[in-house]
Amino acid sequence: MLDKNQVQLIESDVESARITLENLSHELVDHICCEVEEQMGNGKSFEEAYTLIKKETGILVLQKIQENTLYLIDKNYARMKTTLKITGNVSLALLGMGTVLKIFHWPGASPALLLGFVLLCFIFFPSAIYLNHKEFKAKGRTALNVSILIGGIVLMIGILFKVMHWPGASFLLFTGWSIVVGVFLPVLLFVKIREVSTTKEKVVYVLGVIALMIFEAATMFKMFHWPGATFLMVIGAELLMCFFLPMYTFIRLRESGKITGQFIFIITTSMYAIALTVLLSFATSSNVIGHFVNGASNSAKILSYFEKKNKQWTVSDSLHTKTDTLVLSIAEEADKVHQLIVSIKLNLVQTVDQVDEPTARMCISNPDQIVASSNYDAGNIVLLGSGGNGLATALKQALENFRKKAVQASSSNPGLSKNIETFLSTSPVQNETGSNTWEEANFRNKLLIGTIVNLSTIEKNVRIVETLTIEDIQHKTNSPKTL
Amino acid sequence: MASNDLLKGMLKPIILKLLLEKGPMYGYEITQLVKEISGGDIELTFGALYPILHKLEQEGTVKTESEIINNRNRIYYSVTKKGNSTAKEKIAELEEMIKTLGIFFKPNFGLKYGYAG
Repeated sequence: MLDKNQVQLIESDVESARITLENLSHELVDHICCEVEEQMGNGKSFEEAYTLIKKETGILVLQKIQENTLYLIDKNYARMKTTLKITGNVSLALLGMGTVLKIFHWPGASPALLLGFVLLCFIFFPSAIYLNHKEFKAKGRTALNVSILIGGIVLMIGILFKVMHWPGASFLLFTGWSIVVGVFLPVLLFVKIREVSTTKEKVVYVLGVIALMIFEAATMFKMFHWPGATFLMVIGAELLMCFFLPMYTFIRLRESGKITGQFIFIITTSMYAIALTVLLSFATSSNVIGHFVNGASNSAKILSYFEKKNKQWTVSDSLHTKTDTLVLSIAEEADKVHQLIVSIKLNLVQTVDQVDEPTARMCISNPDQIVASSNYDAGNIVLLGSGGNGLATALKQALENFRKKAVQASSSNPGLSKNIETFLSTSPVQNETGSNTWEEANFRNKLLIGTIVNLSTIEKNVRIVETLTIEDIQHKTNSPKTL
Repeated sequence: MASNDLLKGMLKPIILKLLLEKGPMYGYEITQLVKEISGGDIELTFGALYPILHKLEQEGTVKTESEIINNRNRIYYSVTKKGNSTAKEKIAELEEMIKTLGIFFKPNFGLKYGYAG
């Protein structure tokens, strides 16, 4: 007969298989005890007997029995398991296909992504959580499962909205992230601490979850362009990679003595995930944004050159043109475009960064000072608005007014007027998504910093045309004298 | 030894018959009894037994009682009043099946004159 300690050893081994059905776990303990007792009856010691029996009753065998039992007694379980397998594969295939279509700008990307996302978040994810809930039990598991269910779904919908550029993405992402960081991770910490016995393991799990919380919060900060994101991300990633992972590896190795495939998988994927996230977020800020910032400052230099050059025609000591109404009216139209572009830029910067006007003006001349330079929504809201009431339409109007004046002034020079027509064209643009209005093609779903550069380019073109036109007029007025 | 595939559908009636005749039993006891009666030909593994016991319990054919024996919980199964008739039905069904199957294995399918095929 087994003594209390021996039964407890078997009980704790069965417990590690996490059997949710209470009677079943009692039965399995009793059954294993009986078999061990039988072997001991043949003259074996407890250790010998239990080692022998353990070979046939490993954790996986016990879990398989529970799975078979659940299959028989819970119709939902069987149905969900099938659903899980099918939707998991289908949604993965759809998302993969959607991404490829999107990269190559082929049609059908949006429906594939949308369907994949819907399957993933409304069918696969809830059934996976349901099954997990049925298979494993522990104190606080319900709170854990409910919080990750709600938080995860909201977060996934948020990502979908972000990818599709639908309004409300920020709110969804913020809510989802808050639930994950504020509810799920603390509960996870609580559950993990209860599950492990030694202080060392407790420290490792506390460290891991806190590092994860910092890292998740950093990702959220980055996404919403709140200050301090980089600092948090470095701290979180350092904690995860330099402290949690080595300590966790050490404990797991000591515990089992051998490395399982699952363990290798977890370590490698988490390393990759962290490294990729960090690299991507830094790459975005340094390379991509840097490229745009360079573009913006180059445009600004060229612009100021032409502005200076054009000024000389309209200041008082330029005798010939002071009274030339044609030149003055062209300069006037060009200035209108300039004013409008400056106000649009101010509007954009103030929309994303919530700063006062002087700061916004400073940001426009130093675009690397714009905090939310990778924002996508502001351009849509400010320039396109809803139903064509955005500032882009006014800009188009101002550009057309200027173009008309310039073409009119250079009518005696067909080459120049034709060039002006193409240079300042505002006609619809053909691209991979079909025919788009000038406003849509230039300002729909563009990075904020890209839009700023784009506006500077338009202004630059206006100034160049202004110079060419005025020089042309100048040339005609002056030529009789030189002859 | 009988293969698992063949046994699958017959386990329920076999378990019920044992429970009806022997009264309350626990899992390990059932596996040992099956082994003993069949002379070691049928080995009922616990992986096959417990899912079926739980299914029978869910259907209301059997009920469980827990008792602490040798420092651990032991779950005893017994046929319920309601399950009595179901159990008898299932057993009769299997007996009928065995008779029918027997015919297939008689020489010439037990027909007096050759099978007119």
